[in-house]
Order: sequence, then C-alpha cells, then structure tokens
Amino acid sequence: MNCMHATRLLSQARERRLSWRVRLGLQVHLLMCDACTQFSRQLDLLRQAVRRLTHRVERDEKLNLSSTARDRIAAAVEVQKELLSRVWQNQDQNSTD
Amino acid sequence: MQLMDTPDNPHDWLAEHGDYLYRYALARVRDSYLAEDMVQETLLAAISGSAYAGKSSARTWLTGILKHKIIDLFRRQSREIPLEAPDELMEDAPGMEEFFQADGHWSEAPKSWGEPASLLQQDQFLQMLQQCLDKLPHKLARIFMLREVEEADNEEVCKDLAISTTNSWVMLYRARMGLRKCLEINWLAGGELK
Repeated sequence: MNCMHATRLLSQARERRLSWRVRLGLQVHLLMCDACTQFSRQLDLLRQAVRRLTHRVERDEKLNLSSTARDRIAAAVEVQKELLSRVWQNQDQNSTD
Repeated sequence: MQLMDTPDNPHDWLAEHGDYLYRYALARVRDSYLAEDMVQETLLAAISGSAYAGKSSARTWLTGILKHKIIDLFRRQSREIPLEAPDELMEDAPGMEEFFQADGHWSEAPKSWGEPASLLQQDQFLQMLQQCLDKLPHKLARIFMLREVEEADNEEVCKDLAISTTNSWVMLYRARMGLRKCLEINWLAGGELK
C-alpha cells in the first residue's frame, strides 16, 4: 500500500466500512508513515472546522434578511394565504352542496 | 375550515424565525439571494403543507422543511450542471499527480497546522477554510458539506445528487485533498489566500 492508496482509503473509511483486511493494511501503513498519519488527523480537523464554521454563520446575528427580502417574503406569504383560503372556501362549499 | 392548526400565524414565523432560517440557509447555499429564496419557499410550504403538529418547536419544524428545500435546490443544481465524464472521476483518481509522485508517495508530505483545539478557536483559520471552500468546485464543496456537516447518509446523498456511490467516494476524496492542500499552503504561509 502506498500513500496514494492509503489516503484514498482513509477518505473512503468515512463513507463505508472497510474490510478487516484493508483496515489492517491501512493500520500497518499508518504505523510506518508520519505523512499519512498527519493527513488522517487533518481529515478529522477539517470536519470539526467546517462544522464550527457552519454554526458560526448560523449564529452570526449580523447576518439578517434584508428589509427588501423580508417585505417580499411577507407579500408572498400574504398571496399564498389568500389563494389557500379561496381554495378551502370552495372545498367547503362543494362538500356542503 | 380553519386556515391551519398552528398556534401562531406565518407572519410571526417570518418575524421570529426568518433571520435564523436565512442564516441556516446561507451557511449551506452560500449565496444571499438563494438563501432568501429558500426562506420564502420554506414559509410558503409551511403554510400550505402539512400542519404544524406542535410536537417540536416551530423553529425545529421550519428548519426541517428548509433542509428539504436546500436538498431540492442541490438536486436541481446537480442536474443543471452535468457531471464531468465518469471516466474522469474514476479509479486511480487522475489529477492526483498534483499531490503524489508516480510511485504513490506524497509530493509534499502533510505538515502539522498547529494544535487542533487552538486552531478551531481562531477566526482567521475558519475564514481561511471558508475561502478554500469557495475555491473548491461547487459540486465538491456541496457533497463535502452534506457529508461532514449534515451527516447525511451517503446512499441518500448519492440519490439526491444523482451520482453513483463510487463517484461520491472519488468526489469526497478530491474535496478533502483539495481543501487540506489549500489550507496547508495558505495557513502555513500565514498570509492571504493564494
């Protein structure tokens, strides 16, 4: 197993369960290879970092809907409510007819 | 007939949860216009679709709808942008010469970026990651986020993005290789993104 194989397997291990034979080969490689061990740590760090980044955007109170967008959405909600109430009125009339 | 079986009206949803939904969408679709559209679609679906059962908070319920809207968007986008020829994505991942020598050894061995706990506290590091994500091809960034942040099941992701399982492995491998290289080069250089 060379480093290119090892890194591909380290990546795939996050999507599927590798066979025990492959896992063993990978462990042996990692014992001997500092570079791939470092790579494996970086994959863990990438996951943690990208999660933190996402949560930071989610909680960033400076990022808000613009007032234009808010008005547009409110107007769209109004239109939809109006349409729905007409549909439902018709349905109610039909069911009582 | 009642308009809906909900404890509060949709205008309150926009006022109370609009900004949160917007940020949630923005963190994923990474485009303010698309994120606004996602909020609108979510609220429209919320008032027209199945009634809010009150089992979870309104915010959790709305976020659930939003998640589906975002997946729908990704699905549409992945149809609009055809995948490169499958051969290009296949085994032995070509393009990897960038990272490896002919014998499969690293061209440049990964280095330590520093103490993980401290890196994760640094805004600069996270900003660098954001810039590196932006530089990644969209479809690679998207599948990477779906797997690493949403923890979406890989089979589901493949179905949603209309790709094969093997393709997903190759795409994720490329995404991870590209991201780590971008971060390493720029973080260790300590400067602006190259």
